[in-house]
Amino acid sequence: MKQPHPRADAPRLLLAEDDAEMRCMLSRALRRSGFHVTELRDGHETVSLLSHCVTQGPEQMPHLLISDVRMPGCTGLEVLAHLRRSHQRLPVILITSFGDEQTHEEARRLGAAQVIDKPFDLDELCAAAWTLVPAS
Amino acid sequence: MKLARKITIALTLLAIAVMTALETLEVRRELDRSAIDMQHDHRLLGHTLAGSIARAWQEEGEAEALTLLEQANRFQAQVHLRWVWLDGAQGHTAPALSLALLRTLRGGQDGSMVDESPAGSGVLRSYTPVFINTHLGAIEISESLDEEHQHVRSTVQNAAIATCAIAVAFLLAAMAMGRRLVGRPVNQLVALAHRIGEGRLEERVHLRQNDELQTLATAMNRMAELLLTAREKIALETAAHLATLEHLRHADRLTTVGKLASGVAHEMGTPLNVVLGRSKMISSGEVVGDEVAECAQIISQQALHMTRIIRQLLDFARRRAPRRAPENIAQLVTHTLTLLRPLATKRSATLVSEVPDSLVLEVDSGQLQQVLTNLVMNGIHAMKRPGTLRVRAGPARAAPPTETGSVETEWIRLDVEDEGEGIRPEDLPHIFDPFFTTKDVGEGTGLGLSVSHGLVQDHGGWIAVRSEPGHGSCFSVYLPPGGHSCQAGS
Repeated sequence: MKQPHPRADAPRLLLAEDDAEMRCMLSRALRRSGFHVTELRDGHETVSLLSHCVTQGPEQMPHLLISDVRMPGCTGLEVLAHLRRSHQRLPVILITSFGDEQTHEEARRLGAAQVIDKPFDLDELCAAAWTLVPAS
Repeated sequence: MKLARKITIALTLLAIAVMTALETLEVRRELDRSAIDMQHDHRLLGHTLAGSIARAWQEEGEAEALTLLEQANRFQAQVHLRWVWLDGAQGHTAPALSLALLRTLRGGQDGSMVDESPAGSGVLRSYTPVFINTHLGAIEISESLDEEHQHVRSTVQNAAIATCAIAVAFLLAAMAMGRRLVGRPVNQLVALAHRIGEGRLEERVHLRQNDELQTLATAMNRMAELLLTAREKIALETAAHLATLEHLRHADRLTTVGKLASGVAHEMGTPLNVVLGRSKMISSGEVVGDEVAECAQIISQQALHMTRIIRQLLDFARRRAPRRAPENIAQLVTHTLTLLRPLATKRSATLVSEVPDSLVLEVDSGQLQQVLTNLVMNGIHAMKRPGTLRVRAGPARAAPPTETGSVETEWIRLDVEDEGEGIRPEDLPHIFDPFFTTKDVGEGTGLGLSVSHGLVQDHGGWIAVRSEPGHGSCFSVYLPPGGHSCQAGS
């Protein structure tokens, strides 16, 4: 499928989603919206990339992380907890279809910027993502 | 016999015995007194006559003395007087007296004896010694004891009649009193005990007497009162307990509904999102040409995925009762493994059946095949490296899980053993919960084991699992052995 190309100064966004179809669709929508998207397939891959970015310096850090909650390896909540342990204030949007109150509460406690329940409108996700990136 | 009657009869018999003993003593005393009186009278008469007889014998000769005795005899109606020689003088025969009496008489003392006659009641004979020159004679005074004995008989008879009359009166009085003071209140107490036993705790008994039975009645009334209070308390507690149970059941139902809803939401959320996104891409004109077809295909795949989930959910909700028939288990296992072999080959897993050819069980073949398919597929998914999955079957002794009893009996056990990753100990308690899955997203809905567990339960059995993380798991299906024949070995 033909992918839109974002501008060079587009905000960098990490997208962690284990379902290939979902990942592909979200990535496409976010790119169209103007983000530079890096796709990740599971929790381990996400944590690994984030750790790498931290060692590379703040300029290498992405501007936003959108992660599914339930993923193989480690969950979106665990990725968020890892980020907070690394003292990274990176804004995070969690998407979940297991949206019980406990998940929402845990996400809020860990400082998630937003928790969005599946199914959601792609435009709404893009709009939410843009509110969280610095207006540069 | 009732207690009151027993006590009354015992008391009456005791009273009769006491009265009879007292009467007997009284009669004996009377007889002794009478004998003493008679002897005293005889002695007086004998001494009165002895002097006159001795003088007449001295002065006027034997004939005159005996005449005097004969004359004295005429004035005595009750007694008979006669002269006897005690030493056999004058050729007379001495009366047969005891040596002790003879010794007394020879010593000048008078004495008496009772001459028992076989026909009558006996004769009291008293002897007053009289010395005629050197010979010892005696005035013998004889008195029949008939009148005396008649008097005794009459006394005894009267005493017996009086005793009987008293005994009857005592018996009647005691029985009446016993019935009134013991029998009736005891009957009332027994009736109260029966009524309490029947659960009529509001019943009471009131005795108008001031004794131990009244104390017992008060205690029983108090007991009934306490039982009534306790019953009311228990009823209240039971109602509260039932209400709590109902509340818990309701909460449990809500939790189950919540779990199911969360499970459904989780399984459907992602495909719905894909459908939503892709359809929007088409409708907004974002995609054109071949991309439209591609989007439509993705939508179709996601819709199929959701249909599969809904079908499994419906299978879970609408479980039908098993339709059992004798089934060759080896054939059923072979058939199931044949269907799953392509999937196993894809994952480099080898499927092996070690089920005895002759094993036949009364099962619903479709449902058992569904269980086996679920277990074998789980095993294949658990094997990330090449390995062997074995299905075995055979008789085994086992105790069902505690909630269905704990007696160890004979069962047929079907083992599905894999060489996979195993199950984490913290996951083991949840593996039969609906929507619980450790598989990667999209690989399982978390309903397979839950459905299998229910199907095996419907067959009267259960599924047990043992697992060693890193080495594999073994799921054991226990089924009732009814209608099977099994030979050892495979």
